[in-house]
Amino acid sequence: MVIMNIVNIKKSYKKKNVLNNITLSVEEGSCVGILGGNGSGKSTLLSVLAGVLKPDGGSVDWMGQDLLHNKELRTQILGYVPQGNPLLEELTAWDNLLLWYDKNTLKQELESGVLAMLGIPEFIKVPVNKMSGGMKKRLSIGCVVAANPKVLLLDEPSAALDLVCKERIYNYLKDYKQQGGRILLATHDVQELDLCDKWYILKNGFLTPYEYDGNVHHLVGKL
Amino acid sequence: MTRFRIYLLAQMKRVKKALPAVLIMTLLLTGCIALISKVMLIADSSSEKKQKVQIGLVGDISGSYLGFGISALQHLDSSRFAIEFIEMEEEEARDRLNHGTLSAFVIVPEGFVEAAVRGENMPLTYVSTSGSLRLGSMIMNELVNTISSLLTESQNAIYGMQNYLVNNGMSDIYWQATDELYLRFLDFILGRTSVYELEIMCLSGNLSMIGYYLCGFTVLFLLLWGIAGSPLYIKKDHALPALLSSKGQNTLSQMAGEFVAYFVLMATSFLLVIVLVAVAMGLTGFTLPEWEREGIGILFGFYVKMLPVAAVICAMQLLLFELTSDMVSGILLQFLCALSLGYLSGCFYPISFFPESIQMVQPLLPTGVAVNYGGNLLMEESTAIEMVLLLGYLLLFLVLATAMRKRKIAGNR
Repeated sequence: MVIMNIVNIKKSYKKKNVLNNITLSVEEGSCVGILGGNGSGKSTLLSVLAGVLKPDGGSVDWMGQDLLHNKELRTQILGYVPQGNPLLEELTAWDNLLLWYDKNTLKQELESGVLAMLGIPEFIKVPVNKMSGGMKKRLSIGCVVAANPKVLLLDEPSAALDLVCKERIYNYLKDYKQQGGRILLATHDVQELDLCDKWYILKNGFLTPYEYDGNVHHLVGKL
Repeated sequence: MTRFRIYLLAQMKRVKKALPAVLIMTLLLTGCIALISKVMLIADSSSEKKQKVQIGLVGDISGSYLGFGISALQHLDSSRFAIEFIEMEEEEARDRLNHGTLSAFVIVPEGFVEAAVRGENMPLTYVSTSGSLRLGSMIMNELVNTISSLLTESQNAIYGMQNYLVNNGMSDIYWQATDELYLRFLDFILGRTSVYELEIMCLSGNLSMIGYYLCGFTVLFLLLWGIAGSPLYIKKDHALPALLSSKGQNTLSQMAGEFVAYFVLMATSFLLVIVLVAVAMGLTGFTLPEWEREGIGILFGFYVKMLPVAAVICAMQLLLFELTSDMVSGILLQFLCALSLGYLSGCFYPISFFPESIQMVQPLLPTGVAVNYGGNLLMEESTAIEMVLLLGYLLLFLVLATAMRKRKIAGNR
């Protein structure tokens, strides 16, 4: 079993320690939820892991290799879905997907692969600026999973989406997990918590394990 | 295919989709700039009649040397192109002066000629409004005083000479001497232009005014065109740049892809304007003094040579896009930068009209360098220094835009 070990990640902004020795591991076929209030550093942690931000220290171990210092491996292993939608507004879903897939793979994925599962063929010819929020989020995930990443880093994937769309995304993520994928999820959403196998609370730059039992009031008190 | 090429291809697709709307915006912008240029250029070369200063003459001046002298000024002298003397009644003169259709009027008092014959000094009255006491009016006052002195003094001299000849028994040469003196005065008045040379100062070296404004308005157009590009390049969030970074495409490579696509869009819009100008020049036969012996093709040569300027302005606009994250403030920023830089760089008025401090800053501004570069192109002078400066600015803007994007991505966490 291959485990992604995140070890002692540190990051500070203007003398403020946003991430203090963050250590956790994500196992095969599991989902880890990072909980925290606004500005607690959840997105910063995912950005550091995705290689968008440089950490002040720490490492991400993957089969003996440090993903933070191995760009090529990192881009193969990790799929990062940022908070916004990483899409070109004027282009259609097809054109956006071509940024990440070659034509033949794209056609296959639309017919019977992950893109079909996300329901993207329904709006493949629609320009992004005419899509609903749910369509955009599904397309964003579709773009990110192009290279079959082993780990998905999701930053509030279902924020402001309707129930039908959330359901579709959860179904996909459950399937991804079942097939051995690893998910690291930064979230506020109660529904998303059910998807996770382990939970952590990020507060004042420190990460502490949390046992979520469905008691939202208790969780809110901890944040 | 490398990630850069894939990203560039996607950016080119965006440009292709946005092109019709951008070209419509370009046409509107061209129309606005054409109107501004028409107002600025046509106003400068308005009709001869409008440029003439009209001076009223009140009183009877017929049958005297004064009348003859004024008639000579009106019909023979070169001043007739600038000053027009009109005989009228005092009431009409005051009325026209009040309505601003007359610059001033001169009252020739009754008995003026007889007094001159007697050798007495009877002054002319020059009437102007107090509101017209500006530099032009003051010069006019001096001019009228000079002319009236000249005419009355010459008249006094002729009558004085005639009296002298009669009193000293030289009546036989009376008419001959009168004619000679009169012709000498006329020769003095009409031949006075030979004492000075008229030199019209050029606006920028040897560049014609129209040539200067062509450069200025080209830079202004490119600056204002940034508004048309705003909807395409102002980012509400930096999710895509963040994802591209995580996939190994660094910000410099992203910026380079966007720059190339944006430059192609700007160059296409600029080409449309050049085609319109070429058609207009072909239809009207209008051309620049610098291009008098050249065909329309030189306009397209000018377009190609101005592309480095377009590249610098593209890079500058990309930097401005990175500074903002919402459409309204982005468009406002583009507009204000275009106006302020255009003004300080001499796009609206020749830089020689500005205070010395602005004249010192202008050659350092990127848009100032662009205007000067265009001027040198028209005059077929060396553009090496300007080209180096433009290249420097291009790199500087791209580096700054990349740094801003990095900052934005970090802030997008």
